[in-house]
Amino acid sequence: MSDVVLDASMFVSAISPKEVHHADARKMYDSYDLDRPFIVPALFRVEVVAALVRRGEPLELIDTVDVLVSGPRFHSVALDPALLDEAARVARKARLRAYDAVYVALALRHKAVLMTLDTEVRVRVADAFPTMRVVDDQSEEVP
Amino acid sequence: MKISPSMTLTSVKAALSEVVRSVRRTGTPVVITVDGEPAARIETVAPESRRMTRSEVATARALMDAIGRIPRPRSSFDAVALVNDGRR
Repeated sequence: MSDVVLDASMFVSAISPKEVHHADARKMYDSYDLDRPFIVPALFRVEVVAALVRRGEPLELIDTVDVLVSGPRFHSVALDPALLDEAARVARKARLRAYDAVYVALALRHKAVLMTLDTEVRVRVADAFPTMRVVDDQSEEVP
Repeated sequence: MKISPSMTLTSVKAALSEVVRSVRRTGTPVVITVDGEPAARIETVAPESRRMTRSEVATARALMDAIGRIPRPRSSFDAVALVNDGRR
C-alpha cells in the first residue's frame, strides 16, 4: 500500500456523521493501514480545528480531535522553502488554490496517493499530473 | 563566515559544516553557484514517517472511538465547502 497524503476535507468528513460524504469517507479513512501515519502538511491541524470551530462543534470534540491529529497517526511536514517552491510550481501548472497546491506538492514529494473529497482538485490534478494517484469517497481502496 | 541563501562553491567548501548547521537550524536552503549560475542546493531532508507502535495504534483507535461518542450538531454539511471556506 502506498503512502497517503490526507486532505483536511476527507478527515473532517470521516469524523463527522452528519457530513454528506461521511460513510464513504470513513470507509476510505479506515481502509488505510492502522499502523501507518497519514502524511499531512503542518497546516492540516489548523485547518481541521478551524473547520470544526466554525461549525460550532463542542469543545470536547475539538480537544479530542486536536490530540489525535497532533499524534503519531499523522506525520506532519513543515512548510519549508523547498515544499513552497514545489507548491508554487503545482499552483501554476494545475491552477490550484494555495492550500490545495501544498497538499499536491506534498503528495508529489512523497510519491504518495492524495486522499481528497474535492472533485475540482481531482480533475485538475488528473489533467496536470496524470501519473499522480488520487482517491476520493467513491474509490474502492487505497492503491 | 556569513551564511547566505546563495553562496559560491568556493565559499561553501570553506565553511561546509557551518552551512549544513545553518540549513538544519533555519530550514532555509543554500544555493551553490558556479561561475555566477545556480548549480546545486543544500536543503534539509524531511524526516521519514515510521510505522506506529501497537500502543500508538491503540491510542489512535481509542481517540477515534471517543470522537464517535461525543454528541454533535445535528445539521448536515459538506466538508469540502467548510474546509474551502477556511482557505479563502
